Amino acid sequence: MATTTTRSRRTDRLLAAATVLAAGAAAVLALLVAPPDAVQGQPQRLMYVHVPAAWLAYLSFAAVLVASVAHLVTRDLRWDRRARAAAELGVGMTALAIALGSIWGRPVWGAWWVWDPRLVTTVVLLLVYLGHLSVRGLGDDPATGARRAAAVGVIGFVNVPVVHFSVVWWRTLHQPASVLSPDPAPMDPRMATALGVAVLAFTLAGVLVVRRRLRVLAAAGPAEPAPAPLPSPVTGPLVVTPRIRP
Amino acid sequence: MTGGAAACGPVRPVPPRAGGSYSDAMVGQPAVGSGPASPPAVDPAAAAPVLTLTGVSRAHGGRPVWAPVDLSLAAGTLTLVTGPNGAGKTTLLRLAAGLLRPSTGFRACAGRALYVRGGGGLRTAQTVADAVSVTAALAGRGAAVLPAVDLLGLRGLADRRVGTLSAGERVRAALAAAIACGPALLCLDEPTAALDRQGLLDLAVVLGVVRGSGTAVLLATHQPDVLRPSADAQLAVADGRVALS
Amino acid sequence: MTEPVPVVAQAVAVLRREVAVERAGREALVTTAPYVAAFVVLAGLAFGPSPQQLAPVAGGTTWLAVLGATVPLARAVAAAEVAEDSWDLLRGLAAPGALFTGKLLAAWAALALTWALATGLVVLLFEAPVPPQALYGGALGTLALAALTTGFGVLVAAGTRRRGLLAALVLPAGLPALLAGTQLATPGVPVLPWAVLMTLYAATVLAAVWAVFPVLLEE
Repeated sequence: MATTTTRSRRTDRLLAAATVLAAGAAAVLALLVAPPDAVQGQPQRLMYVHVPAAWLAYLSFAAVLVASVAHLVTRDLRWDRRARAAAELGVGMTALAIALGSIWGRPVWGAWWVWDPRLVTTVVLLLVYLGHLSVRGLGDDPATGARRAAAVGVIGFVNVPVVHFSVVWWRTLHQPASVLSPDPAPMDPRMATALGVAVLAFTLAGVLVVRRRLRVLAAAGPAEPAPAPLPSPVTGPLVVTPRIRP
Repeated sequence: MTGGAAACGPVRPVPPRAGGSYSDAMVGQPAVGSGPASPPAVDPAAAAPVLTLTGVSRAHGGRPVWAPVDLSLAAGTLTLVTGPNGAGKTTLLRLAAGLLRPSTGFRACAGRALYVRGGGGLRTAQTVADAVSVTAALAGRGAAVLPAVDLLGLRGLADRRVGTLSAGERVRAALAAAIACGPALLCLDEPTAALDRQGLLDLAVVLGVVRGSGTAVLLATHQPDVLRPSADAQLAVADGRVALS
Repeated sequence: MTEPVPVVAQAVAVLRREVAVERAGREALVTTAPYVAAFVVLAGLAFGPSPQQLAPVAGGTTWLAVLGATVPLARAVAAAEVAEDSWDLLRGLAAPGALFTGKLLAAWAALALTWALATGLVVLLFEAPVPPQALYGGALGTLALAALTTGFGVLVAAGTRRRGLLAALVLPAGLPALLAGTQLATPGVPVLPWAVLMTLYAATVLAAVWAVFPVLLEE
């Protein structure tokens, strides 16, 4: 147990160091090395935070699905804690991506919000995973809360692609051009490098945050994971057979 | 089909019993209040276990309610469950009925297990006759409705809405519905609280008939005195353990 | 003694029980009919009054009304049973598959009635025509929403707090039904993609809720 904790702390320190390095490099690349966008100017630099945040959010939600299914199959509360930690990170990153996208959109499109499929889908994702986190509070039993959250995680996630396609078709049938359709011009290699390093920094930071959150959740939860060896009944077997009556 | 989605271990077949089905057993039985409580004549050797709990416990909020229990109930037995408020009587009954998933251990039940809390179980907007018959239909036992209604002396109340019944009458209506379903195990949670002395005596008669057709009854109560003479065992739930008393 | 009942027969028995309870109490009818009437009239006041303004929003009004009706209708799935202490006996008697199917069909009937009422009122008050494909959208969209209502209805009813979470769970998940249903109810919009999407949505939601329903029933 002690060695596991020590090893885990050492991994955390390594991760933290790698995150700081990657984040520093990403900041330098994104703010100093990468050129400003030819069309959008300086506001485009928000991309180096917005895109990694969205990437980390999607990665977290995929992890929530895997952990939810694993929890439903094994009923192990460790999987539930993984789902919960990933969902919390995903909700935070989704909110960040939406907020940054909105700030980026204002100077570029002249609007805080457009009815783009990616935006609508992302907001629906945010709502689904807020629901996922909230259903734990329906009752007091951690095992029941875990089961409910896992069920919501599964129903919510399988619905997301259908939500996305509905909004895509809704947009394309009403207005052929999408505001966010990718620029056909290839990205400057310096921009691509900055973005790649930023994505790496966010991913490392995400892993670190989830690991630390898992330790907090484990400390707050039951000391031992569910399937403990069966203790023998203290009272001996209770057998009820019909009484023989006179 | 046993209850809900709870874990249910391997199901042991119950040997066919003499006396046939519920409806047969109920036909010709005295109506409520017309005779004294007579314990059923059951041959102990023929009584196979209906319910087997092996090392079963249940945690609420991470803490076990009581130490793991090994419990075996034979067909046709009446077991009283007593204990102070909050000791875990309801938890034991709901685990036995398969409504709660055990935190540890296994549950095996040979047939349908039902749990009824007080006079609950029926929709209040329905008449007694409708409520009992839609419930029995879920068990595919429409033919058992009339005998059950008669057994509980509900003929006169058949057209009353369940919501307008008194507490004692609701207990009888709920029992009629549950009995009509022909359960292998019937878990009754505090059916006695709303009953007067005559009501308790009537309940003993009804339970005698039900047990005569092979149903094991697990009954939680704070008033065990009237039922104790006809009971096969009494389980005391207290201080985090379940024990025979 | 306790011979098992086939799941289909039991699902029919659950549905018949739902119909009998509805006949006895008229819960779903008084929940939806006045609500839909008020909703459509108020929508007319909010978006109108000229027919040129109302006709384009007719389909959307119908589906918003249906989506909104899922929240009060979800009470009939489990919350009303829990409140009347009948949920335990029902769970003990009905297999999860039968319980899901019976409750799903009852919720479907109630939502389909809501849709039909809303569509009828929109035709009358908004002077909006109803293309035939709207019927397909209405049938499948209400089926999908009924599945969500059944699943989330059981989920929320088993809790002791935060019952209001139901709307936050059902409404975002119902987005595809709203979009596809509205498009199928709007004349001149291509039918095939929306019919395909609605079918896909209904199949996805039904499969997902069916899969997790036994887990939702566990306590």
